Amino acid sequence: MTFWAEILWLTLGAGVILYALTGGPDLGAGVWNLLASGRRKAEQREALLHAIAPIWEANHVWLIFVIVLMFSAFSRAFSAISIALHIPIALAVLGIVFRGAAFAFHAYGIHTDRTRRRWSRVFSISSSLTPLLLGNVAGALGTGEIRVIDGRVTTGFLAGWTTPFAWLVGAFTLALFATLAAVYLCAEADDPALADDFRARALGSEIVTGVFAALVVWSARSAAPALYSVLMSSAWTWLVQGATAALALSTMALLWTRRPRLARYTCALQATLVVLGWGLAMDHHFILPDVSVASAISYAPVLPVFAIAFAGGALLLVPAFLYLLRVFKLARKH
Amino acid sequence: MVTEVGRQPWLIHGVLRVKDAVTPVPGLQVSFFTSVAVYLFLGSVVALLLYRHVVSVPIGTRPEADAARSARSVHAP
Repeated sequence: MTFWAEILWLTLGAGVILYALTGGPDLGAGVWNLLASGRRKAEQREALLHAIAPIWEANHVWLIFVIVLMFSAFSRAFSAISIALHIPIALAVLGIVFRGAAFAFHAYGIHTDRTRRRWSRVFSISSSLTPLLLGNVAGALGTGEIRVIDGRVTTGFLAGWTTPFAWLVGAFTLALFATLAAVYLCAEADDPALADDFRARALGSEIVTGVFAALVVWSARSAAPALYSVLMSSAWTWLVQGATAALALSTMALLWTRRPRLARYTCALQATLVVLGWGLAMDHHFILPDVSVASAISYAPVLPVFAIAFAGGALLLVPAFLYLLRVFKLARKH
Repeated sequence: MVTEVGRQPWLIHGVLRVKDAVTPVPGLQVSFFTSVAVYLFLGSVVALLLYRHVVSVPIGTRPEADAARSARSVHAP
């Protein structure tokens, strides 16, 4: 594989990580909107809507970044994935469209309480289904069930994503995003009682995430053998998986001892390592076993140009994004 | 309409035909009709919500009262 393909593959990974850290908890907040309960039910909803309102559109820029990078630099993989996984991707798109629309209608419209509640419910449900489907797509790529021969998908439109393994990865993704959301919300809550609500939720969902992580690994053995053999055979995976588990435990310890500001960083790092571990287990493949990074290159001579263009774009985008977070997240604390 | 219809049957003129570029996924009409229905629905909701915003503003109120009201009603930017 060429140097530039490698650089762009890593850039793509960075995009996925940034999406998981920003768009992930944004979707995860929908879970807590759905599961708001107890005496401070209304305050929980108010807090999470307030937390995502200024930045939810910016967070989803990273998904667009990943898609654009893929179809411009690795169009063969893009084509195979969008054909083989057409159904779950189309459903995820519907989820994204409905959550955005429902959020905007909910926030800006003049409604009776009943219609407002209804839009809030549409927002919650579509926010919760989207990570399930995105995770499902990610899981399906590693099953080895999607075969691509001479650039053509030969296994139809149900291969991979209909397996229990892919749905387990989806459930794991949902749990991880919900955990991130609860940890971020706990750190941002001004009211200690409200922070405690999110703290309990973060601890609970971190446990659920751990259970699904174990189920995913257990199920990979038979459902995603190629992925599983890379996971088990190389030293770095043990390092990455071990570090992920250590970070999950640190997050829980920090939450337990009421240090959510620090927990936010360990939890974000945990999610980063999850994506990294997945990327490493995919072993330079978009789809195991047929579509490797090298075979997915659209047109090799343009790769360095893409890399330079993306680096230039990042020079503009990253400071703007950090400034946005600073304005809406740090400034609130005075 | 002019660009889309005018370049038929090419997607990229002289390079790629639309019929060669389209996904082989069966039942594309389902995707098509679903998208059309979703956007018609969301479009009409937007129109309805904008209409409600317009009719909810009483005519002839003082500007300072308007400013105070909009400051109260806007939660999210």
